[in-house]
Amino acid sequence: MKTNTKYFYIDRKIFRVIFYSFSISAITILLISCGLNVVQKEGISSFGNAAVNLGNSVSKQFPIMRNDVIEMKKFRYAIENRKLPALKDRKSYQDKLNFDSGLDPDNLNRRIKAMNLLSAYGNFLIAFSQKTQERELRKVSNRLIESIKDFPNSPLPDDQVKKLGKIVQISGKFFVEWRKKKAIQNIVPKVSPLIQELCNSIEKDFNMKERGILHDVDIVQDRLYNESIDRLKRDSISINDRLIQLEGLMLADDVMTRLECTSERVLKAASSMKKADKELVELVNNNKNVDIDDIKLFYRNTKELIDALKVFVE
Amino acid sequence: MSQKKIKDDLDELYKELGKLRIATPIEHPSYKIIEEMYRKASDLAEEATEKAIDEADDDYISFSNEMTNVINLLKEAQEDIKKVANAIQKVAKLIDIAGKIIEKIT
Repeated sequence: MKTNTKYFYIDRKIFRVIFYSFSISAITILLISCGLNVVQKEGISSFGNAAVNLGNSVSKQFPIMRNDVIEMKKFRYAIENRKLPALKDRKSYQDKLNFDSGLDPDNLNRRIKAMNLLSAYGNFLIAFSQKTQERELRKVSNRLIESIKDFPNSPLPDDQVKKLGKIVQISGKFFVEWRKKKAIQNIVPKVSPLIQELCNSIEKDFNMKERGILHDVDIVQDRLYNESIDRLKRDSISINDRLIQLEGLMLADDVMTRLECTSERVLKAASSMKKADKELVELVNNNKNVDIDDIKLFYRNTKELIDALKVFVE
Repeated sequence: MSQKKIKDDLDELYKELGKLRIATPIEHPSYKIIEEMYRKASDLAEEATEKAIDEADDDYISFSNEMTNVINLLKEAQEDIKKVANAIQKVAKLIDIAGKIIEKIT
């Protein structure tokens, strides 16, 4: 009888061990299968790639445009060949010449920081929708949180950003897929208002009819083009003068072509990002099959943007 | 709305003046004045960026009223250079008003 009781206790111990092991394995399998589904992974990763494409292309454009404006103004002043009045100090001369025409470093830095968020968000989405090492996940998460903090006039309060910082920290080896999904489900709707704001800002800056960056560059190129034509209609004193007038004309023409190309493609990409972002929010919170056509279009538009800009020398 | 309107008007003005300047031979008696007006309008358009403006301002109302008329005259002058003299008087008046408005807001 005693022996039987002993065996009974041993059996219970074994049973418990087997039961707990089975339960843990079952939960693990369940949580693994609770990760992102194939369509979600495809949509999130495509949006991520498109966001990186757009963010990187647009941030590259700002310093190029500033450089163009300074170069065009230099040519314009040389071609106009006007005397400067005597002014009281260096600042007055800077204001009078206004070489960067509103595209000052502070102004551009704000825009570049906003674009950094787009690239960081894109990399975050790519990493969290694919098999990525823990170290890499931590890196992209930290970069995303830093970019959200840096976003100009962010509508997200500091405490919310802090909470997001905790959500995206994935450590350990267990339940990674499930935790990645949870992080994405938390982050995407919170970042969505920033993405929508970013779209509005891109639409203003890259529409020549709005008072944004491209419009400023357009005024400067029109002036240089006009002054170059004026001088080319007259006899030139030297070959050098003529060369500068021709260079001025070519520069204005080149900038105009780039402005038109950039404006069209960036506006197309930004407009599709607006729709794709809404689709992404729906996609991450819905396990059933969600249409990802807007996300695919956003990706295609950013690929077209990159291809179109390749012909212009940076 | 008003800020956008006056800025759009200024844009149209300097662009039309620019087209007229390009199409006019330098020997034309009005060339010099077209050049001056184009430069003024272009400078004002650059200055007007990001500046506020009050729609109720009297100068703005006269600017706005004159604008359509002047743009039509500039377009006519581009077609027929003989009509330049007719257009430039009106343009000069319009640029004066625009100058006053920009001065107020800077």
